[in-house]
Amino acid sequence: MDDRTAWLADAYPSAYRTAFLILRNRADAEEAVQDAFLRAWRFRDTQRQGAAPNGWLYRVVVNACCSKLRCPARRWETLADHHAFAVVRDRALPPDVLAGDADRARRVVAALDALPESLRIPVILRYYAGLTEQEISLAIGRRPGTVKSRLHEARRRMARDDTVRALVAQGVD
Amino acid sequence: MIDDTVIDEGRLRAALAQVAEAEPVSASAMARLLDALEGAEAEAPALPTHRRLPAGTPARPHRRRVAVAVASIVIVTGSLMAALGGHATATNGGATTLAVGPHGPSSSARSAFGIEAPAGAQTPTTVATPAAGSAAAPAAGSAAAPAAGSAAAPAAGSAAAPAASDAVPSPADSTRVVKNGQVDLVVRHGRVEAVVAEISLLSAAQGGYVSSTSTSLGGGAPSGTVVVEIPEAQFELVVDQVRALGRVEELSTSGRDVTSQYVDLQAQITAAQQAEQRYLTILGQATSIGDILAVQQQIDSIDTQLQQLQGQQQLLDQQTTYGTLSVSVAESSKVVVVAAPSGWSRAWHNAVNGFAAGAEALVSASGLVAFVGLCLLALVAGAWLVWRRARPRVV
Repeated sequence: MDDRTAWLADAYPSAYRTAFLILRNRADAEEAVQDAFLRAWRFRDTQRQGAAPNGWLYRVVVNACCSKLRCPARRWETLADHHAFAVVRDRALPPDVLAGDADRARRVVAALDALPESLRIPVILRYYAGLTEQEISLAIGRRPGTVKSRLHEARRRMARDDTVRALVAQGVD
Repeated sequence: MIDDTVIDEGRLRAALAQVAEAEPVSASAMARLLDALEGAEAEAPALPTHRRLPAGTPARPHRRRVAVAVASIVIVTGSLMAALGGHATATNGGATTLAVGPHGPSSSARSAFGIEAPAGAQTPTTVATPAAGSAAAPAAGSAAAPAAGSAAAPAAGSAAAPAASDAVPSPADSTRVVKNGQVDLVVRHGRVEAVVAEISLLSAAQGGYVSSTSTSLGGGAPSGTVVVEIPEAQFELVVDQVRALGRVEELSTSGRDVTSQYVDLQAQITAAQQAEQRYLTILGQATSIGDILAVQQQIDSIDTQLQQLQGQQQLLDQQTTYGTLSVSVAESSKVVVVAAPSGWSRAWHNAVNGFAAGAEALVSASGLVAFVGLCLLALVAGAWLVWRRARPRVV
């Protein structure tokens, strides 16, 4: 297995799923990740010394996703696919997950979807992709303090939803 | 009250993982990507390190930002240069004006501080006095002046004409000159009235009389004007005496030679008198009423003409016998510093002048300074905005 294949096998699934969560559309996510990986591979030697490789890769991915989100031609498709995403989101949970957990997860992700992109993307990067605040800062081009406050704001807004709050409270208890 | 309840991180992480992990990763998509990577590697190897393009940043918008930044800097710099050029031109114009200016400000400043330049240095004096015939002077002065009186001008009329003719020398041996003079005097505070009276006395003493006088003592600057008629021979003497009464601001005298005009008038009068004499002889020889009437008409006409000519001659006599001197007397508003100012005074005036000049320079330069400051502010603000916009932000 060469470097390329190893890198791809290691990074692709997580990057793809991150893009899927951001774009909520399978085809767009595949396209965006493909563009991002091609670009990342081509410019792999130009990344700054000492920069977090994860942050750098996700920066390219997030950029590609944002390009897709901002593309006017695709905006309607994304909106049309939003319903499909909800179906996928609801259907995708494996059968071995407890019904209570599944319901809680659906509610939480639905609350996440209601957030603006500026809050939603840091949350996905932090709590799904597992990036540190520093890496997210690099990925979205904002200061770490901004990232931190956005994450807090996102969690606060999500907790505004009474159902989510009740479910989470129930889960915590 | 702000609700600080936040969703639990663990729950959030678990929920996202549950939803995301349920999404299958397409193996075919991965294979396509692998192929694309190999193809891309073959076509274009990884860019060398020295071409450090910002990762994930589209090149074109970045170039656009740089172009906008450069264009804005060029525009601001250009407008700044243009404005500076315009100001430089304006400054040149101002310098030209200033080059002309010093006479005004400095003289006004001097008068404001009570320093007055010597009369001879500042006021050009035009004295154009033709040499009066010395032979004409004594007889005219002594004989005509008392007869004319000191209160009013001699009455013009046919009866006075012979007397005037007798008083003035014959035109054959004299030069007739009409003299006029104008003196502007500045006198000490409260001396206007006294000086006007002195001038009247001076003219009377020399056989002249006062033609008109007016004095204004109200307001901030008392002044007076007196016009005196002085016998021609004493004209220069009186002018000198008047000059001694105060500081002369302006002095001008002029003389107009009317000898030829006088001789011409005299000839016309003689001719008219001879013609009248001839008609009188003819009148004595006339026998018919018609002849008498015709000759009498001619005599009347000549008589009228003769009276006009004699009137003109009298006027000319008066003008050439007496010179008209108009004296304007004004009060100095400040103490006249005749002596050179002391060192302390000069230093004080220099300090005040320097302060005024400095303040003027400061005010005149403030426009440019403010403009340059505004331009710099705009430049900095523009650069800051460009920098803010150029900073790569994804979301």
